[in-house]
Amino acid sequence: MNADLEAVYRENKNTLLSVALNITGCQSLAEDAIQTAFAKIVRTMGNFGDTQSPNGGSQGSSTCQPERPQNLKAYMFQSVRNAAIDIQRSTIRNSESRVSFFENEPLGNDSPAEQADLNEQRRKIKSVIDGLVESDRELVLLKIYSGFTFERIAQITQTSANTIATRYRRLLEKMKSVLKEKDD
Amino acid sequence: MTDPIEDLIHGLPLKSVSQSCDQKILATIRMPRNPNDIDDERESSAAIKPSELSANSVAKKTLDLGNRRSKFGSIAVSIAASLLIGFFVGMQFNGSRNSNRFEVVDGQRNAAAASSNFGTNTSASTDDLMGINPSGINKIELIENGSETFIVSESLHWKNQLPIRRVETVTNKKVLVTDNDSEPKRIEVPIRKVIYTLADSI
Repeated sequence: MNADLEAVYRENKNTLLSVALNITGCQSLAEDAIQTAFAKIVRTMGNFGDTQSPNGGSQGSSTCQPERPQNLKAYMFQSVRNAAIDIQRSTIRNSESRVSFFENEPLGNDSPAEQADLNEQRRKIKSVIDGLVESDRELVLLKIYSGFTFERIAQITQTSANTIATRYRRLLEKMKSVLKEKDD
Repeated sequence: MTDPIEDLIHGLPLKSVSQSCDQKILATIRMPRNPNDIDDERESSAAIKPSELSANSVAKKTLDLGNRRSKFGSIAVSIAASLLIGFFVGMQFNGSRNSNRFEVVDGQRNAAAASSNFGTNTSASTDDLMGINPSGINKIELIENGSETFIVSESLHWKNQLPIRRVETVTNKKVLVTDNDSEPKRIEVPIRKVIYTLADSI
Protein backbone atom coordinates (compact mmCIF):
# COMPACT_ATOMS: atom_id res chain seq x y z
CA MET A 1 0.00 0.00 0.00
CA ASN A 2 2.80 2.42 0.86
CA ALA A 3 4.36 1.78 -2.54
CA ASP A 4 1.15 2.82 -4.28
CA LEU A 5 0.90 5.86 -2.08
CA GLU A 6 4.46 6.87 -2.86
CA ALA A 7 3.94 6.32 -6.59
CA VAL A 8 0.86 8.50 -6.66
CA TYR A 9 2.62 11.14 -4.60
CA ARG A 10 5.66 11.21 -6.86
CA GLU A 11 3.47 11.53 -9.92
CA ASN A 12 1.33 14.35 -8.54
CA LYS A 13 3.42 16.11 -5.93
CA ASN A 14 3.85 19.36 -7.86
CA THR A 15 0.16 19.50 -8.67
CA LEU A 16 -0.65 18.78 -5.04
CA LEU A 17 1.60 21.63 -4.03
CA SER A 18 -0.08 23.88 -6.56
CA VAL A 19 -3.53 23.03 -5.24
CA ALA A 20 -2.39 23.86 -1.72
CA LEU A 21 -0.52 26.92 -2.91
CA ASN A 22 -3.60 28.14 -4.75
CA ILE A 23 -5.47 28.11 -1.45
CA THR A 24 -2.83 29.29 0.98
CA GLY A 25 -0.89 31.58 -1.37
CA CYS A 26 2.31 30.70 0.46
CA GLN A 27 4.84 28.01 -0.40
CA SER A 28 5.68 27.10 3.19
CA LEU A 29 2.04 26.92 4.22
CA ALA A 30 1.28 24.80 1.18
CA GLU A 31 4.05 22.39 2.09
CA ASP A 32 2.75 22.28 5.64
CA ALA A 33 -0.64 21.37 4.26
CA ILE A 34 0.82 18.54 2.20
CA GLN A 35 2.74 17.15 5.16
CA THR A 36 -0.30 17.37 7.40
CA ALA A 37 -2.44 15.68 4.80
CA PHE A 38 0.01 12.86 4.22
CA ALA A 39 0.42 12.18 7.90
CA LYS A 40 -3.33 11.74 8.07
CA ILE A 41 -3.44 9.69 4.88
CA VAL A 42 -0.77 7.28 6.10
CA ARG A 43 -2.54 6.87 9.42
CA THR A 44 -5.89 6.32 7.76
CA MET A 45 -4.48 3.93 5.20
CA GLY A 46 -2.91 1.92 7.97
CA ASN A 47 -6.26 1.64 9.68
CA PHE A 48 -8.26 0.57 6.69
CA GLY A 49 -5.78 -1.46 4.74
CA ASP A 50 -5.13 -1.46 1.04
CA THR A 51 -7.14 0.41 -1.51
CA GLN A 52 -8.02 -0.29 -5.06
CA SER A 53 -5.84 0.76 -7.97
CA PRO A 54 -4.16 4.10 -7.28
CA ASN A 55 -5.57 5.90 -10.29
CA GLY A 56 -8.51 3.73 -11.08
CA GLY A 57 -11.04 2.40 -8.70
CA SER A 58 -14.70 2.75 -9.29
CA GLN A 59 -14.94 5.87 -11.34
CA GLY A 60 -18.12 7.82 -10.85
CA SER A 61 -19.10 6.21 -7.59
CA SER A 62 -19.07 7.96 -4.26
CA THR A 63 -15.42 7.34 -3.58
CA CYS A 64 -13.89 10.31 -1.78
CA GLN A 65 -14.80 9.02 1.65
CA PRO A 66 -11.95 9.42 4.10
CA GLU A 67 -13.06 6.29 5.93
CA ARG A 68 -12.41 3.94 3.03
CA PRO A 69 -10.95 5.67 -0.01
CA GLN A 70 -11.52 3.91 -3.32
CA ASN A 71 -9.49 6.30 -5.44
CA LEU A 72 -6.20 7.06 -3.78
CA LYS A 73 -5.33 9.94 -6.05
CA ALA A 74 -8.62 11.72 -5.54
CA TYR A 75 -8.45 11.08 -1.82
CA MET A 76 -4.95 12.53 -1.78
CA PHE A 77 -6.02 15.71 -3.53
CA GLN A 78 -9.04 16.09 -1.31
CA SER A 79 -6.94 15.61 1.82
CA VAL A 80 -4.37 18.18 0.71
CA ARG A 81 -7.09 20.60 -0.23
CA ASN A 82 -8.83 20.24 3.12
CA ALA A 83 -5.56 20.64 4.99
CA ALA A 84 -4.76 23.77 3.00
CA ILE A 85 -8.19 25.20 3.73
CA ASP A 86 -7.70 24.53 7.44
CA ILE A 87 -4.31 26.21 7.42
CA GLN A 88 -5.61 29.14 5.43
CA ARG A 89 -8.46 29.67 7.88
CA SER A 90 -6.10 29.61 10.84
CA THR A 91 -3.63 32.00 9.22
CA ILE A 92 -4.15 35.71 8.75
CA ARG A 93 -2.49 36.67 5.51
CA ASN A 94 -2.70 39.44 2.99
CA SER A 95 -4.50 38.02 -0.02
CA GLU A 96 -2.61 40.35 -2.35
CA SER A 97 0.68 38.68 -1.45
CA ARG A 98 -0.44 35.42 -3.00
CA VAL A 99 2.29 33.45 -4.75
CA SER A 100 1.59 31.93 -8.17
CA PHE A 101 1.80 28.17 -8.44
CA PHE A 102 3.57 28.50 -11.77
CA GLU A 103 7.31 28.32 -11.91
CA ASN A 104 8.99 31.71 -12.35
CA GLU A 105 11.77 30.45 -14.52
CA PRO A 106 12.00 31.95 -17.99
CA LEU A 107 10.39 29.79 -20.66
CA GLY A 108 13.30 29.38 -23.02
CA ASN A 109 14.00 32.85 -24.36
CA ASP A 110 16.94 31.57 -26.33
CA SER A 111 14.90 28.91 -28.12
CA PRO A 112 14.16 28.93 -31.83
CA ALA A 113 11.53 31.24 -33.26
CA GLU A 114 8.67 28.73 -33.11
CA GLN A 115 9.48 27.81 -29.57
CA ALA A 116 9.69 31.47 -28.65
CA ASP A 117 6.23 32.05 -30.09
CA LEU A 118 4.90 29.13 -28.05
CA ASN A 119 6.50 30.45 -24.92
CA GLU A 120 4.92 33.83 -25.52
CA GLN A 121 1.52 32.20 -25.67
CA ARG A 122 2.26 30.37 -22.44
CA ARG A 123 3.21 33.58 -20.71
CA LYS A 124 -0.13 35.05 -21.72
CA ILE A 125 -1.94 31.96 -20.49
CA LYS A 126 -0.04 32.13 -17.25
CA SER A 127 -1.01 35.73 -16.66
CA VAL A 128 -4.62 34.88 -17.45
CA ILE A 129 -4.70 31.99 -15.05
CA ASP A 130 -3.00 34.01 -12.33
CA GLY A 131 -5.78 36.57 -12.73
CA LEU A 132 -8.56 34.03 -12.27
CA VAL A 133 -10.47 33.56 -9.08
CA GLU A 134 -9.26 30.82 -6.75
CA SER A 135 -11.94 28.30 -7.65
CA ASP A 136 -11.22 28.64 -11.37
CA ARG A 137 -7.50 28.27 -10.84
CA GLU A 138 -8.19 25.14 -8.82
CA LEU A 139 -10.37 23.85 -11.62
CA VAL A 140 -7.52 24.31 -14.10
CA LEU A 141 -5.16 22.37 -11.85
CA LEU A 142 -7.53 19.50 -11.20
CA LYS A 143 -8.70 19.15 -14.79
CA ILE A 144 -5.61 19.85 -16.87
CA TYR A 145 -2.73 18.93 -14.60
CA SER A 146 -4.30 16.08 -12.66
CA GLY A 147 -6.56 14.77 -15.40
CA PHE A 148 -9.59 14.25 -13.18
CA THR A 149 -13.02 13.86 -14.70
CA PHE A 150 -15.71 16.43 -13.96
CA GLU A 151 -17.39 13.95 -11.63
CA ARG A 152 -14.22 13.43 -9.67
CA ILE A 153 -13.52 17.15 -9.46
CA ALA A 154 -17.07 17.62 -8.24
CA GLN A 155 -16.44 15.11 -5.48
CA ILE A 156 -13.16 16.70 -4.48
CA THR A 157 -14.53 20.24 -4.43
CA GLN A 158 -17.95 19.12 -3.21
CA THR A 159 -19.75 20.73 -6.11
CA SER A 160 -22.04 19.29 -8.77
CA ALA A 161 -20.47 17.85 -11.89
CA ASN A 162 -22.67 19.93 -14.19
CA THR A 163 -21.55 23.11 -12.49
CA ILE A 164 -17.93 22.09 -12.85
CA ALA A 165 -18.37 21.27 -16.55
CA THR A 166 -20.11 24.56 -17.24
CA ARG A 167 -17.48 26.55 -15.38
CA TYR A 168 -14.72 24.78 -17.21
CA ARG A 169 -16.18 25.44 -20.65
CA ARG A 170 -16.65 29.11 -19.82
CA LEU A 171 -13.12 29.22 -18.48
CA LEU A 172 -11.61 27.91 -21.71
CA GLU A 173 -13.69 30.33 -23.77
CA LYS A 174 -12.59 33.18 -21.55
CA MET A 175 -8.93 32.28 -21.95
CA LYS A 176 -9.28 31.95 -25.69
CA SER A 177 -10.90 35.33 -25.92
CA VAL A 178 -8.25 36.90 -23.76
CA LEU A 179 -5.49 35.40 -25.87
CA LYS A 180 -7.20 36.58 -29.00
CA GLU A 181 -7.53 40.11 -27.61
CA LYS A 182 -3.88 40.17 -26.67
CA ASP A 183 -2.89 38.82 -30.09
CA ASP A 184 -4.93 41.53 -31.76
CA MET B 1 -6.12 16.95 -24.28
CA THR B 2 -8.78 17.83 -26.85
CA ASP B 3 -8.41 21.60 -26.78
CA PRO B 4 -5.15 23.22 -27.93
CA ILE B 5 -5.33 25.68 -25.06
CA GLU B 6 -5.27 22.79 -22.64
CA ASP B 7 -2.00 21.68 -24.16
CA LEU B 8 -0.68 25.20 -23.76
CA ILE B 9 -1.67 25.30 -20.11
CA HIS B 10 -0.27 21.85 -19.45
CA GLY B 11 3.08 23.02 -20.79
CA LEU B 12 3.38 25.59 -18.05
CA PRO B 13 5.67 24.21 -15.33
CA LEU B 14 4.34 24.20 -11.80
CA LYS B 15 6.33 25.03 -8.71
CA SER B 16 8.17 22.10 -7.20
CA VAL B 17 7.95 20.73 -3.70
CA SER B 18 11.07 21.65 -1.77
CA GLN B 19 13.55 18.90 -1.12
CA SER B 20 13.08 19.00 2.64
CA CYS B 21 9.31 18.76 2.35
CA ASP B 22 9.67 15.98 -0.19
CA GLN B 23 11.91 14.00 2.14
CA LYS B 24 9.57 14.46 5.08
CA ILE B 25 6.58 13.24 3.12
CA LEU B 26 8.46 10.25 1.74
CA ALA B 27 9.64 9.40 5.23
CA THR B 28 6.04 9.58 6.44
CA ILE B 29 4.89 7.30 3.66
CA ARG B 30 7.72 4.82 4.14
CA MET B 31 7.38 4.73 7.89
CA PRO B 32 7.09 1.05 8.81
CA ARG B 33 3.82 -0.01 10.27
CA ASN B 34 5.14 -1.94 13.25
CA PRO B 35 2.38 -4.15 14.67
CA ASN B 36 4.04 -3.98 18.08
CA ASP B 37 3.64 -0.21 18.18
CA ILE B 38 1.13 0.43 20.90
CA ASP B 39 -0.30 3.58 19.35
CA ASP B 40 -0.59 1.84 16.04
CA GLU B 41 -2.46 -1.09 17.49
CA ARG B 42 -4.68 1.15 19.52
CA GLU B 43 -5.80 2.93 16.41
CA SER B 44 -6.01 -0.03 14.09
CA SER B 45 -7.20 -2.92 16.20
CA ALA B 46 -10.83 -1.86 16.14
CA ALA B 47 -10.95 -1.43 12.39
CA ILE B 48 -8.74 -4.28 11.27
CA LYS B 49 -10.23 -6.61 8.72
CA PRO B 50 -9.43 -10.33 8.93
CA SER B 51 -9.36 -10.61 5.15
CA GLU B 52 -6.45 -8.19 5.05
CA LEU B 53 -4.29 -10.32 7.26
CA SER B 54 -2.42 -13.45 6.40
CA ALA B 55 -2.70 -16.50 8.60
CA ASN B 56 0.65 -15.78 10.22
CA SER B 57 -0.16 -12.17 10.89
CA VAL B 58 -3.51 -13.16 12.33
CA ALA B 59 -1.82 -15.66 14.61
CA LYS B 60 0.80 -13.12 15.67
CA LYS B 61 -1.85 -10.48 16.23
CA THR B 62 -3.86 -12.86 18.32
CA LEU B 63 -0.78 -13.90 20.24
CA ASP B 64 0.19 -10.32 20.91
CA LEU B 65 -3.27 -9.46 22.10
CA GLY B 66 -3.31 -12.63 24.19
CA ASN B 67 -0.02 -11.77 25.84
CA ARG B 68 -1.24 -8.33 26.63
CA ARG B 69 -4.48 -9.69 27.98
CA SER B 70 -2.59 -12.23 30.07
CA LYS B 71 -0.45 -9.47 31.56
CA PHE B 72 -3.44 -7.37 32.41
CA GLY B 73 -5.26 -10.49 33.55
CA SER B 74 -2.49 -11.51 35.91
CA ILE B 75 -2.41 -8.03 37.41
CA ALA B 76 -6.17 -8.07 37.81
CA VAL B 77 -6.08 -11.53 39.39
CA SER B 78 -3.35 -10.41 41.78
CA ILE B 79 -5.35 -7.39 42.86
CA ALA B 80 -8.50 -9.49 43.26
CA ALA B 81 -6.61 -12.12 45.25
CA SER B 82 -5.14 -9.47 47.53
CA LEU B 83 -8.55 -8.00 48.15
CA LEU B 84 -9.98 -11.47 48.80
CA ILE B 85 -7.21 -12.39 51.23
CA GLY B 86 -7.61 -9.10 53.00
CA PHE B 87 -11.32 -9.71 53.23
CA PHE B 88 -10.87 -13.13 54.81
CA VAL B 89 -8.13 -11.93 57.14
CA GLY B 90 -10.45 -9.18 58.25
CA MET B 91 -13.21 -11.68 58.81
CA GLN B 92 -10.91 -13.91 60.83
CA PHE B 93 -9.74 -11.00 62.91
CA ASN B 94 -13.31 -9.96 63.49
CA GLY B 95 -14.20 -13.55 64.37
CA SER B 96 -11.40 -13.83 66.91
CA ARG B 97 -12.61 -10.64 68.48
CA ASN B 98 -16.07 -12.20 68.69
CA SER B 99 -14.59 -15.31 70.32
CA ASN B 100 -12.86 -13.17 72.90
CA ARG B 101 -16.06 -11.36 73.56
CA PHE B 102 -17.83 -14.70 73.88
CA GLU B 103 -15.32 -15.88 76.44
CA VAL B 104 -15.74 -12.70 78.42
CA VAL B 105 -19.48 -13.13 78.46
CA ASP B 106 -19.01 -16.77 79.26
CA GLY B 107 -17.01 -15.80 82.27
CA GLN B 108 -14.71 -18.69 81.66
CA ARG B 109 -11.71 -19.27 79.49
CA ASN B 110 -12.68 -22.77 78.45
CA ALA B 111 -15.12 -22.13 75.68
CA ALA B 112 -13.25 -24.44 73.33
CA ALA B 113 -13.15 -27.20 75.90
CA ALA B 114 -16.82 -26.72 76.58
CA SER B 115 -17.66 -27.22 72.95
CA SER B 116 -15.59 -30.38 72.75
CA ASN B 117 -17.33 -31.74 75.82
CA PHE B 118 -20.73 -30.98 74.45
CA GLY B 119 -23.13 -33.49 75.87
CA THR B 120 -22.95 -35.57 79.04
CA ASN B 121 -19.50 -36.25 80.22
CA THR B 122 -17.68 -37.11 83.39
CA SER B 123 -15.22 -34.62 84.60
CA ALA B 124 -11.60 -35.64 84.45
CA SER B 125 -11.15 -34.92 88.12
CA THR B 126 -13.67 -37.51 89.21
CA ASP B 127 -11.05 -39.55 91.07
CA ASP B 128 -9.98 -36.53 93.04
CA LEU B 129 -13.55 -35.67 93.85
CA MET B 130 -14.17 -39.25 94.94
CA GLY B 131 -11.31 -38.95 97.36
CA ILE B 132 -9.97 -42.29 96.31
CA ASN B 133 -6.38 -43.07 95.93
CA PRO B 134 -6.30 -44.97 92.63
CA SER B 135 -3.13 -46.79 93.52
CA GLY B 136 -4.85 -49.10 96.00
CA ILE B 137 -8.01 -49.79 94.05
CA ASN B 138 -8.42 -52.67 91.66
CA LYS B 139 -12.06 -52.37 90.95
CA ILE B 140 -14.86 -49.90 91.45
CA GLU B 141 -18.42 -50.90 90.83
CA LEU B 142 -21.06 -48.26 90.62
CA ILE B 143 -24.11 -49.00 92.70
CA GLU B 144 -27.05 -46.98 91.33
CA ASN B 145 -29.39 -47.57 94.20
CA GLY B 146 -29.94 -44.74 96.57
CA SER B 147 -28.18 -42.18 94.53
CA GLU B 148 -28.96 -38.53 94.97
CA THR B 149 -28.07 -35.77 92.51
CA PHE B 150 -27.31 -32.19 93.36
CA ILE B 151 -27.07 -29.39 90.84
CA VAL B 152 -23.91 -27.53 91.51
CA SER B 153 -24.35 -24.79 88.95
CA GLU B 154 -26.52 -23.93 86.04
CA SER B 155 -25.59 -21.20 83.55
CA LEU B 156 -26.35 -20.08 80.05
CA HIS B 157 -23.73 -19.22 77.45
CA TRP B 158 -23.38 -18.30 73.83
CA LYS B 159 -21.48 -20.69 71.65
CA ASN B 160 -21.42 -20.17 67.89
CA GLN B 161 -24.37 -17.84 68.29
CA LEU B 162 -26.41 -20.59 69.94
CA PRO B 163 -27.74 -20.45 73.51
CA ILE B 164 -26.13 -23.15 75.55
CA ARG B 165 -27.25 -24.32 78.96
CA ARG B 166 -24.47 -25.62 81.16
CA VAL B 167 -25.51 -27.70 84.11
CA GLU B 168 -22.95 -29.08 86.50
CA THR B 169 -24.22 -31.77 88.79
CA VAL B 170 -22.85 -33.88 91.57
CA THR B 171 -24.43 -37.20 92.28
CA ASN B 172 -23.67 -39.04 95.46
CA LYS B 173 -23.50 -42.61 94.46
CA LYS B 174 -22.48 -45.67 96.35
CA VAL B 175 -19.64 -47.59 94.89
CA LEU B 176 -18.20 -50.92 95.80
CA VAL B 177 -14.50 -50.67 96.26
CA THR B 178 -12.38 -53.75 96.25
CA ASP B 179 -8.71 -54.01 96.89
CA ASN B 180 -6.35 -56.86 97.42
CA ASP B 181 -5.87 -56.43 101.13
CA SER B 182 -9.38 -56.08 102.45
CA GLU B 183 -12.94 -57.07 101.83
CA PRO B 184 -14.96 -55.10 99.31
CA LYS B 185 -16.66 -52.16 100.90
CA ARG B 186 -19.33 -49.75 99.82
CA ILE B 187 -18.68 -46.14 100.08
CA GLU B 188 -20.68 -43.14 98.90
CA VAL B 189 -18.79 -40.86 96.58
CA PRO B 190 -19.81 -37.77 94.61
CA ILE B 191 -19.86 -38.23 90.82
CA ARG B 192 -19.39 -34.88 89.10
CA LYS B 193 -20.92 -34.32 85.66
CA VAL B 194 -21.18 -31.38 83.35
CA ILE B 195 -24.06 -31.42 80.92
CA TYR B 196 -24.33 -29.06 77.99
CA THR B 197 -27.68 -28.74 76.26
CA LEU B 198 -29.19 -26.36 73.77
CA ALA B 199 -31.28 -23.75 75.49
CA ASP B 200 -34.38 -22.13 74.07
CA SER B 201 -33.04 -18.68 74.77
CA ILE B 202 -30.97 -16.72 77.15
